[in-house]
Amino acid sequence: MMAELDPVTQEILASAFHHIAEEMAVVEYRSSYSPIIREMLDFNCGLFTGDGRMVANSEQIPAQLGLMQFALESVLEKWGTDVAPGDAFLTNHPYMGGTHTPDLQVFTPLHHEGAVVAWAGSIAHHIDIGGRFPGTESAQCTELFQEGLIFPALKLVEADRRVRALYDLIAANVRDPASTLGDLDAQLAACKRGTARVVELFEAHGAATVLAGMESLLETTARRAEAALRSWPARAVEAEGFLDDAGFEGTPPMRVSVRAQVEDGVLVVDLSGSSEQVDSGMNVPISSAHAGTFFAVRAFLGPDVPQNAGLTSRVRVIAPEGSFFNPRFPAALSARHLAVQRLTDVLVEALGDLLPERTVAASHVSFPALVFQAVDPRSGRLTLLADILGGGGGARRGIPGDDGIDPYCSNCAILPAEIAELEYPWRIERTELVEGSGGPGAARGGLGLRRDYRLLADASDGMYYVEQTTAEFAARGREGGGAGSPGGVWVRRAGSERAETLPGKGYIHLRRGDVLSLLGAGGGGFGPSADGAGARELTPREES
Amino acid sequence: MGRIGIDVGGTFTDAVIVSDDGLVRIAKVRSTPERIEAGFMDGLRSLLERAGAAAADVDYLAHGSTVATNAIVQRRLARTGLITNEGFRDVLAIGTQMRRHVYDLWTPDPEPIVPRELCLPVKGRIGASGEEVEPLDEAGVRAAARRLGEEGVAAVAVMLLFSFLNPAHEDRVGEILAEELPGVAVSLSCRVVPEYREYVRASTTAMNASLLPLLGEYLAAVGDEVQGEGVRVPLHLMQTNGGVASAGRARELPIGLAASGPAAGVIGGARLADLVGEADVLTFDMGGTTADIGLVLGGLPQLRFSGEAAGMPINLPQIDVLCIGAGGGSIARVDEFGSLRVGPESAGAVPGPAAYGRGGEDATVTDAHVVLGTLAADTQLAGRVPLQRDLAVRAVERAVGGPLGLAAEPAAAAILRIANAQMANALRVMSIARGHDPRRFALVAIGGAGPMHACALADELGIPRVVVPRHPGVAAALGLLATDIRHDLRRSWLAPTAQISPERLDAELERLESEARALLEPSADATRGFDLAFELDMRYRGQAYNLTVPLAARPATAATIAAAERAFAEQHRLLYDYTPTVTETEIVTLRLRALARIPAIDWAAGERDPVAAAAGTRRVWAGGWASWRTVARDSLAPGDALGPETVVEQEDTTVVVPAGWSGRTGAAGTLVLAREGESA
Repeated sequence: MMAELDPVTQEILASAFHHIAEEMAVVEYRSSYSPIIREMLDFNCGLFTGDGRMVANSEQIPAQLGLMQFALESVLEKWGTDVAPGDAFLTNHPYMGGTHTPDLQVFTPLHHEGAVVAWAGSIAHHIDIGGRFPGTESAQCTELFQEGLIFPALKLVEADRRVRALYDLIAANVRDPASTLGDLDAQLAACKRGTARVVELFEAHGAATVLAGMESLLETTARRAEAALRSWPARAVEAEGFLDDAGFEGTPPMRVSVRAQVEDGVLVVDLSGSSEQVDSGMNVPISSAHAGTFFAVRAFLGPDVPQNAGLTSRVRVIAPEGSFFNPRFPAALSARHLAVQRLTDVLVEALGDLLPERTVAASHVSFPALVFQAVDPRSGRLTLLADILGGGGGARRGIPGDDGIDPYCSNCAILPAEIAELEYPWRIERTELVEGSGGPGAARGGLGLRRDYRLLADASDGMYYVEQTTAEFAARGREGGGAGSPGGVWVRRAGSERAETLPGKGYIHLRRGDVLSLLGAGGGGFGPSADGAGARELTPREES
Repeated sequence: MGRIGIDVGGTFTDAVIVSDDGLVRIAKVRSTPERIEAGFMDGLRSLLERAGAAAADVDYLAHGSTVATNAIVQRRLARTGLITNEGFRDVLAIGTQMRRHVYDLWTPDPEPIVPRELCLPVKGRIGASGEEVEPLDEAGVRAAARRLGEEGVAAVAVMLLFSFLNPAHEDRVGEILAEELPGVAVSLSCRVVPEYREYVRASTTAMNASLLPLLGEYLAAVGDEVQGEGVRVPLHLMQTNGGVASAGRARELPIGLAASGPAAGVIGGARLADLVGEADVLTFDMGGTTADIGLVLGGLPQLRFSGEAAGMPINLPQIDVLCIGAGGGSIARVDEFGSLRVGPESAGAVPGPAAYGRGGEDATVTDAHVVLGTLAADTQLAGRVPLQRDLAVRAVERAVGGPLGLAAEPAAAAILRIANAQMANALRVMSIARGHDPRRFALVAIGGAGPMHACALADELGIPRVVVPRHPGVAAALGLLATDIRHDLRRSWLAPTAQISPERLDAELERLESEARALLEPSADATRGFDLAFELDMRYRGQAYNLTVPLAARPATAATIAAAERAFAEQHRLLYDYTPTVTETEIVTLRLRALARIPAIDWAAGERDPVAAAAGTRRVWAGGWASWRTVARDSLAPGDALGPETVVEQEDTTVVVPAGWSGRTGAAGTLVLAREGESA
C-alpha cells in the first residue's frame, strides 16, 4: 500500500501535516468557551497514524504534547476494530495514558477503504470536571476518585450522533457545564477540521502517497534524532532537585532525580532515584513524565527535529512502578504539573552538563496557579476564575533571563486583568514584575511576577498552589550566577493591614474585600556578578 | 485633469497618473531613504513631465508609504514614555507572558518598546462597569509628566484600565500632559483602541505614540513640498485598513499606516481583477524576498482585527495579508538528511541570484527559472543586470542537483515545486482555513515574480483562472487610486443580545456616526458622498473570539438585532461546522465602517492600439525541453488569444503560460489565463 516517495513530495506533505495541526488549533481556541483555553491556550491538537503514532502537532503546551499517543493507544486497545466513521472518543484516565483528569482528550478516526488510516486529536485543560475542589485539580486530593469524572476511553459521538447519556452525565457533574460542553464542541470541531483536511490531501496526492508521507516523516525524524544523539558525549550525567513538600504543609520535600545517557542512539532517562509515590495530588502519571522528558530533549536537539513519534522513539524513560513518576492506581495526581516542571528543570541542568556550550541557568518552576469559584453579584451566575502566573526565566551566557514567563513544559498566557474584571467578581489590583527577584550574575535571572486579586463577591472558595517557596529550592544560577528569589502566596483579609503568609499549596475561603497575592519565583543568574551578591529574599510584609 | 498615486517602497518609488481619458502612465524612480520626501517629489515631477501636466491640474493625490513600517522594523522610534495605573507599570514587559519560541531556551524575548524606567504608574482607577473606583491623583500625574520631561521623551502613551468604558481619567491625563509637556506627542488608548485587553491596548497605543513625532515631521515635510510645487488638493495616505485617510488623520494615528504596503497591493489586485469581472479573488504578490497573499470577497479585500509589529500585538483593523518568505531571491539548499528546503533566507539584491553574476553563489528561485528557460538568459531584471545561465546552472547543480543526484533541470524544477508548495500552503491558509473554496476563486498575479508562478499555484489549488493586470509591478500604486477614503470606528460594548435595549444601542451608534462624519468632512471635495456600514462583533456567551456580522442601517430595532444574531449563527456554523451546545449570544463590539467613495476610473478608455507583434520561440524545460512561444506584452491587442506553452515578456515581469493553460486579453489590457476546460 505504501508508495515510493520523492524528497520533494515528502517535504510538501510534512509541511501540510504541520499546517493541518496548526489549523485545528485555530479552530479550537477561536470557538472555545473558557479562558483557560481561549486566553491561556492550555490545549493542543495533533494528527496521528492509523495505529496511533503522532505525526504532527500544534505546539501550544509541551506538557501535553508527546503524550497524546499514549491516550490514543488506550482507545485503540479498548475499541479495536469497533471504530466507525463519524465516531469520536473521549478519554482522560490518568492510568490509561492520560495526564490529569481535567485534560480531556478527544480523538476522531479517518477511514479509507474500510480501515482506519489516521486520527485527529485534541487535548484541552477544562476549567472543571467535578470532584472535591473547584477546578478539580489540587495538590490536596488524596486519591484519584476525588479528582472528578473519569472517562476510560468512551465513545462521545457514535456515527455522528452525540451519546446523550454521556453529555447528560457530564452536565450534571461539573461546576460550569456550559464551558465544559462548549469546549468539547470546540475540540470536536478541531478534530473534524483535521480529518477533513487529510481527506483533501488524499484527493490531491492519493491516499497511499499521503500515508507513505506520514511514515517517511516519522522515519526521517527518528534518523535525525538518532544522528544528533549519537553526536552527544556518551557519558552519563546526573542531577537532582526537590519539590517543597508532598502537597501538605510540613510534609518532607520530594526528590526528583535524573540520570541521562545516550545508549546506542537512544537517550535513556532514568528517574529511579526519585521519591516513592505519595498520598497527595503531587504524583505524576507516567505519560506526563515522558512529556517533561521530551521537552528537554527536544530543546537540546534543536529545531530541525520535529516533535512526533519519530523523535519519541529515540527516548526511553525509566520510572519504577510505585514511584513518584509512575504511581499505582488509584493514587491522586491532579497537581502533577509541578513535578513535571521540576523534572524538566533537572533534566535541563543535566543536559547542560553534558553539552556545556548550551548550558543555561535554571528557570523558575514555582508555577503559581489558582481556581476560585464565586457567584458574580452582577449576573447571579457561578463563575470559576482560573489564572497562571509566570516567573523568571534562566539567564544564558551574556543574556539575562526573560521576565515573567511560564517556562519549560508550560507556556500559558496570563489572564488579561480586564477580562478577569469583566467576567469575574474580582479586581486585579496589581500585576507587576518584582525588582531584585532575578538571580544575580554577569547576566541576571528573569524577574518574578506578582498579582493581587481582590474579591468583589460576598464569598469565594478555591485552591491555589505555588512551588519553590523556599530559598533552598530556588532557581539555581550557573557558572557562578546566583539563585532567583522564591515564590510565595499570602492573603490580606478585608480591613486588615497585615498580610498573612499561606502554605504553598492550599484551599481557602475568602470574603468580600480579601486580597489574595501570588508571587512567581525569579530565575537563576549566569556567571559571577560584579559584587557577588545573592538575590534578595522578598517577604510579604515588605512587598504589601 | 489627472489623478496620481505614489507608492514609496524601500528601493523604488512607483508613481502612476491616470488622466481623464483613462490613459495610465507610470514612472519608476529610486527611493531616497535618507530624505524620503525627495524621492516622492522626484516621482511626482517625473510623472507630471511624462503626462505634460501642471501641478495645479492634479485632481487627487494619494500616497502609500513605508515610513512607519520601516521605522518599526528598524526600531527608529521616538523615545516614548507610558503612563498607566498603579500596579500595572509592567504591562508592556509582561505582555501575554507567553514565550515566542517554546523550545528555545537561549533566544531572549524582544525588548518592549518602552523601557521600564519610562513606564510610570499613577493612582486612580476606573472599574469594570465604567465607574470610578478611586479618583485620579492629578498631582501624581503632574509629577510623572515632569519626570518623563526630564528623561527627554518625545512622546507619551497613556493606557488606563477600562478607559474604553469611561475615558475621563485618560482625557484628564492628556490635558495635564499637554500643560506640563508642550510639544511632546501624546496618544490616549481610548482614542487609538477603545477595546478590552489591556496589554494589546497598551502595545498598540505605545507603538502609535512612538511613531507620532517621526510621521508628524514627515507628513509636514511632504505636505509643504507638495504645496510648494503648486498642487492644490490635499494629500491622502494609504492605511493598513485598506482605505485612505487625509494626512491630518494619519498624523494622529500613524500606527494606521504601519502595514499599508502590502494592503495597497491587495486593493490594487482586487480592483484590477474587478475590471475583468472577477469579484472573488486571491491576490498573489511575489517579489524578491516575500510573497504576500490577500483574500478578496465580492470585490472587498478582507480585514482582520489584529496583527503584530516589532514583536508586539497591534489591535487595529487591517487588510488580511499573509506574508511568507518566498521570493525570486529565496535560497534553495539540501540539508544533511537529504531534505530540500527553499527560503526563507534570501540572496537579496546584492549579491542576488547566481545568474546576476555579482558574486552570488547560492541557488535561488530566479536561478531555477533561468535554468529552465522561463527566464531568458538575456532578460534584464530590476537593476538592469543581464542574466547568465551558466552561473545559474552551476549554482543549482552544486546546491541541489549534486546532493539529490539530479541533473540541473530536474533539480531546478524541484526548487520551484518546493517554493510553490510553500506558497500553495499560504494560499490554503488564506482560503480553505478561512472557510473558502479556492476552486471558485481567480488568482491575481502581481509583483515581479507573481505571473511566473501563478498558473502552477492555481493547478495545486484547483483555481480555474489567473488574472495578470497590464502593469503587475505597479499594482500597489494603481491600488492607491482605486481606494476609497475609509475610517473604522469601534467601541467595546458588552451585552447579552437578549437584554439589549434597541434605543440604547441606537444612541451609541449615533455617537459613532457623528464621529465618522467629522472625520470624513475634510475629504468631502474629493469624493462622491458617504457610505456608513454598521457591524457587530458577536460570540456565544463564554467565547472570546468574535465573528463580525453586518447590522442594518440605523435606527437599531429588535428586528435588525435579531437579523444580526441569525447572521452570526449562520457564519459560526459555516466556520466551525457544529451546532453549539451554548446558544445564548453576546454583543462585544460595535463597529462602523465609514467610506467616502472615490470617483471610478474609466480604465478601458486608456487602451492603446497594438504595436507590431513581436513573437518568437525559446526552449523551455518542463519535464523535457520543448519549444515555447514568446510574445511581447506590448504587442497584444484586446481580444488576442494565447495558447499553452507561451512566455509573455514585459518590462516589469514575465508571464508563464504552461501546458494546460491558455489566455486572452481582456479589459484595460488585462491578461486572463484559464485552465483547459475553463472559460477565460
